[in-house]
Amino acid sequence: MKSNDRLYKTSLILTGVLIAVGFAFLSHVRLDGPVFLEHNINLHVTEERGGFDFPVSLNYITNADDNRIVTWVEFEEYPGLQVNASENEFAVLSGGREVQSFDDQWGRDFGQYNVREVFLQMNQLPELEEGEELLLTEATVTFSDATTQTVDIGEMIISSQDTSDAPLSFSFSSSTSNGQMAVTYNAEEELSVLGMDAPYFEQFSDAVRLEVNGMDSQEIIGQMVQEGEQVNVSVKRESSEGSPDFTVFSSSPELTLITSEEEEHTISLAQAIQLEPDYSFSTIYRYLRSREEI
Amino acid sequence: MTPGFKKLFWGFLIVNISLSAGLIPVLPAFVGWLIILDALADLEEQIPRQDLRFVFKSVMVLLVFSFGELFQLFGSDVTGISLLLQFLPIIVLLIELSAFHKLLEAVVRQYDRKNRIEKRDKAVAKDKWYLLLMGGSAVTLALSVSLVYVPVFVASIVLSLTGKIYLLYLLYALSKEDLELELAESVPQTG
Repeated sequence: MKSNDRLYKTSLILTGVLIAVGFAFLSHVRLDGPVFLEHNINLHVTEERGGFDFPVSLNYITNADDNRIVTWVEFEEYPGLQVNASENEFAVLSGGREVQSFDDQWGRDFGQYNVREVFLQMNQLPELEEGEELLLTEATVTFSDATTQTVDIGEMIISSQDTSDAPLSFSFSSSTSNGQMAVTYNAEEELSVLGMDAPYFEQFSDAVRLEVNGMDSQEIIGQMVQEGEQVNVSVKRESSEGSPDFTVFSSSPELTLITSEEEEHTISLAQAIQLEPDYSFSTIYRYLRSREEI
Repeated sequence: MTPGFKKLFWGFLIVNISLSAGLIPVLPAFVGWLIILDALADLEEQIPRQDLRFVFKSVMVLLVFSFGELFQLFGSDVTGISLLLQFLPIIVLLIELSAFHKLLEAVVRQYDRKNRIEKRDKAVAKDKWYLLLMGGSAVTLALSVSLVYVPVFVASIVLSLTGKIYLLYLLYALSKEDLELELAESVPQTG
């Protein structure tokens, strides 16, 4: 009976110590509120596509037991920008007709943290001149409990693009879930390739390789493309590592060409290179520490 | 047959099963704890009151906690109120462990009083297994709340479930014994 008594007391003491340590740990790692990540997003809007070229999302980290969701997003620099925002991607795609609830949120749990995505879809195109850019750095986010938070989102650049006089016609495109993608165009006339780049590319060039007709983006400069020939643009992931500095990238590769009449054209791919951080409890914890959020 | 232990068996079974009709619980946990309190009152005829005093108090606390289940009827999520409440299920588990360990200990004492050495030793061994299962469950559950690590959480659930089924088996086995009869048997025959 004495050994049972010892076992009973040991269970109580050990569990008590674990509760005390656990409580101290949870108090330490707990966030005061959602923390939005820094984003580097480059978007092109075209009249033909009627909005963003690809789905855009803002990522944030919150406590795993936070059952609020983002219901509305407004941008400080452009308050009139009509945007549907939802943590349910389908609700955004359906134009906000689907009612979202917490059960619909697709957040991913990493220990005490939950990484959420707020999907955005524009209702109305911003009035931008050809070549004009709209830089968005701050957003006011409204949550389902009617609280609002103004957050730094990094950089979201929206520009308009007129593709009507492009010397390339779109043929087909494909993409895979691991970040590979390929877009094929047909040359409408004889062209020379001036270069291939992507906004913010220097920040993630170790992770991604850009190719044109199977050649590296640096080797392709000056290559000729005859009328009727295909131009294959591909994006290949070089490593499975996440984005550096916990920044979320969404960047559309741009192919610059020159015609025989010396007319320069820059064509943005209708797909974006999407890179997100390597999420785990420890990487999120270190990131939040570096931002002095905990 | 010992009606006290039989009631304890059914009470503990009701505490651990969840029957509801839509949002309305048909057999809420507090019904089970009330049956257990009634069973403990019956047991006082066989086991000295002072041996059951701690068990009574612990079951009263568990009864109060079980009313928390009813809050869900009105859509109130009490778990979100405070960080400390994340540890509430572990505290409830520890109180339950304490209550039934002390009950098994009272049975051991009773066997001891009746000089039933073999029965006492078996009851001590059963109590040890119960403590190992439920103690292990409490420790792993405390770890999993902090770490949010699924394998540890699954281990705690498996241990807790095994411990509860084992306790049901023990209560059922005790309901088949008559402690007073054994007391009569243990008295040396004279004349």
